Amino acid sequence: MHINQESATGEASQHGLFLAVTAADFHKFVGLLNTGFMLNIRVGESVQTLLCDRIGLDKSYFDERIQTLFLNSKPVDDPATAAVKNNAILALSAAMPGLVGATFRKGGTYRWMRGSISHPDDSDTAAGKVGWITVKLFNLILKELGPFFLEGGIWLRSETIQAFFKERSGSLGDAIQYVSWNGGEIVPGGILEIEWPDEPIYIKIIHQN
Amino acid sequence: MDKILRVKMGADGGPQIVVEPLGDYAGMGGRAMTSAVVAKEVPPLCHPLGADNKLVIAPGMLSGSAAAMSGRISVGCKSPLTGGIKEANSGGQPSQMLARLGCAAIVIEGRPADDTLYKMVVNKDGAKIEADNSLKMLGNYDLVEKMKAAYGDKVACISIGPAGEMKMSAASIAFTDMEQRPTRHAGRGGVGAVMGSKGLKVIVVDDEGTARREPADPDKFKAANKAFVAGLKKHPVTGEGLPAYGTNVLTNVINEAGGYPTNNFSTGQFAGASKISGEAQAELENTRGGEGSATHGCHRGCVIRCSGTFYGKNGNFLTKQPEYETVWAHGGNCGIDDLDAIAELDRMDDDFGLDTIEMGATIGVAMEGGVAKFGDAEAAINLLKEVGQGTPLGRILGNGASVTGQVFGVERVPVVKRQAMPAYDPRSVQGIGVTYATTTMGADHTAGYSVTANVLGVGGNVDGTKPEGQVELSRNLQIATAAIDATGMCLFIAFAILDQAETFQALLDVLSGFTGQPCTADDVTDLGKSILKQEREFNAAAGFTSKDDRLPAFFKTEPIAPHDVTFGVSDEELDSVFNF
Repeated sequence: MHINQESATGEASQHGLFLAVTAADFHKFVGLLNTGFMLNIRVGESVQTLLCDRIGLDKSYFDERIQTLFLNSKPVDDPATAAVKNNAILALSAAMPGLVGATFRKGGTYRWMRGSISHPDDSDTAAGKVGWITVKLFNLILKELGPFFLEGGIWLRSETIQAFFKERSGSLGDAIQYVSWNGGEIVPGGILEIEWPDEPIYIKIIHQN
Repeated sequence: MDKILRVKMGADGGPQIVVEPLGDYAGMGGRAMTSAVVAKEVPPLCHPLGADNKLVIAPGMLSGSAAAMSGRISVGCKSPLTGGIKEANSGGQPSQMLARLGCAAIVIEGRPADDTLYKMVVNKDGAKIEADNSLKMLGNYDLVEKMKAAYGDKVACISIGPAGEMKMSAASIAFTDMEQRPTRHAGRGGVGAVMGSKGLKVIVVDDEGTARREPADPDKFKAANKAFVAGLKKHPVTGEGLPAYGTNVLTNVINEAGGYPTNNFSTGQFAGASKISGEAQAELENTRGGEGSATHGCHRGCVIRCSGTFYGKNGNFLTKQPEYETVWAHGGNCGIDDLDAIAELDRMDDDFGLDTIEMGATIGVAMEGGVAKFGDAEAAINLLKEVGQGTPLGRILGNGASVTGQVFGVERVPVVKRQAMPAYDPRSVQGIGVTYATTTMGADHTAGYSVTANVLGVGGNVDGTKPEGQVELSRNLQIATAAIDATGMCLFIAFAILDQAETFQALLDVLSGFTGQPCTADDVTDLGKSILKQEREFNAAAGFTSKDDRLPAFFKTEPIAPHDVTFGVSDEELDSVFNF
């Protein structure tokens, strides 16, 4: 799968970080996504269109594995009609334990126990424009889709990247094989020396055997 | 299980143990047993810490057998926290062991003549009780080490810490786990205080020389158990999510939904949630490593294994993997985003013998009352130390959120029937508010946890779009949960049962194969209804009215961010929950 972000180039940061890491250590970088990451969207498209048609998630995986979705903190029952807006926050999770976990499941028996907080079916008048969305991946979805998004390329807040490498510099060891910052190669330890701009950074990580 | 051990603490000449046949209690287990004994034998208006109250400890109906997930044990009494009937249950080893010893219940009654402390030993040769004042004010960890030295490394312990001895309303009863650590607790409602009031520090259970309980229909039982286990393993929650992340997998999702009570229920999202989430916890535990770090069972026979082991920064065992409700109570509810500090608080709760939910909620109320600042982990640890030491402030805190709110003049006190509310805000998830308000137990997230009408067929399919839908769902959930609590099954089986009809049928077949009697969904719901009716009648006789089935007023008047909603279920709807 490949994340199609061609529409992003016009508004995206020009700052880019590219890493090649060892396959055995690739999972260690999924922690970069713990607090969410950004992608470009076409405003007004549905959650399902965004994730399946444009980003390329397998439809059966989307239907069966992603059982809990929140759009701007509102549980989504029908991803085919829930429209994404500029600066929206989309959270994706597998089925969750507990009554409350079951309550948030898309279209679940217990959804009525939420009361009034469900996401409404809607459409957006600004449909078609390019915008941003923050995506959060939880539990099994983080483990399973995290590598996919890292390989496809995403945007992260610079302080998120900075904090990640500062906190984990000791545990990453020799995992990083190659680093490029703004198109120029730097040594792996040089990540800690980067003067990070105060804007989203495009980051892409691939693994090598 | 063919006998009840009656421990008469006030007998002439000192405590005596009488072995009785089951009589009217034949066939009962778990919550069915504890609530039946309390309802029949405890005067509803008695003082919970007085001689007339009884403490009932009962393995589940299937405990001691080969049935998967059947190691839960129930503790019942009149609660010193709520003033009503109480059932608190726990994992750990004692349930399976007591059941194999043929013990359907231990009923502790009366009160000793003085403040002598006692220990009791149950084994295949019988049961005995003797004075042992050397155990006074020992924490659960030191106590268990002492019992281990005296009785060997195969026994299990049921014990109280200093909080129970001080008869605090937040006191729990500890049950040792597979590693002989006191990490599993019947936490809610102050059951530890009742054990303390009886002067009983510990029950040592030794099942050496006993055999597994055999089913009446071995072939049916074996096949059903196999199908039941297969159903649990194939379900994404019980087979993957819970083993990988534990119950704390809920933190991120509940927070994202705006239903994560933060800083004493003042808002619905916590900025530090991702730092204390199940994902972060599992990563930390896996990085530190160690036996059973991120995936571990709480008792033998558990196939879900949602627990784990938390090793401290120095690599040594600190506590079991804190559960979601504990991480919330000592974490987000107090503005604390440090997993090591939360684990330290969990360890202290287990050692002092305290309910983690009640203590986290209490510290949150105390923080709101100005005793400490939200987010100050060191202050929270120091407050909990005061509880263990029994200082005047510690005595206040150890009696729970309601007392603490009263002492410090706090209006926002999240309790129902004086029991602290767990980790789900009822304004964001209104349906759980119905259960919090109406359950016989006081605010309790597990009271309405299990399978619903549309699976069990209670009263037909629920139409949740109607105003009465949430009430009807809560009613049916409470009925089903009461029944599951009687079996000794872990409530987490509910997730697989919820989604997989064949797994629910397998559970019915396990019950039927074990007892040799037919078992239908109607039988299960009838059992649940009868338990709830008994409990409601006890509470009514103890003075509870419909006015006790309410959430605190602030839930109706203070909108919670980010959804800006208040609790909207009417009193009339709440009063209809028990119309069955």
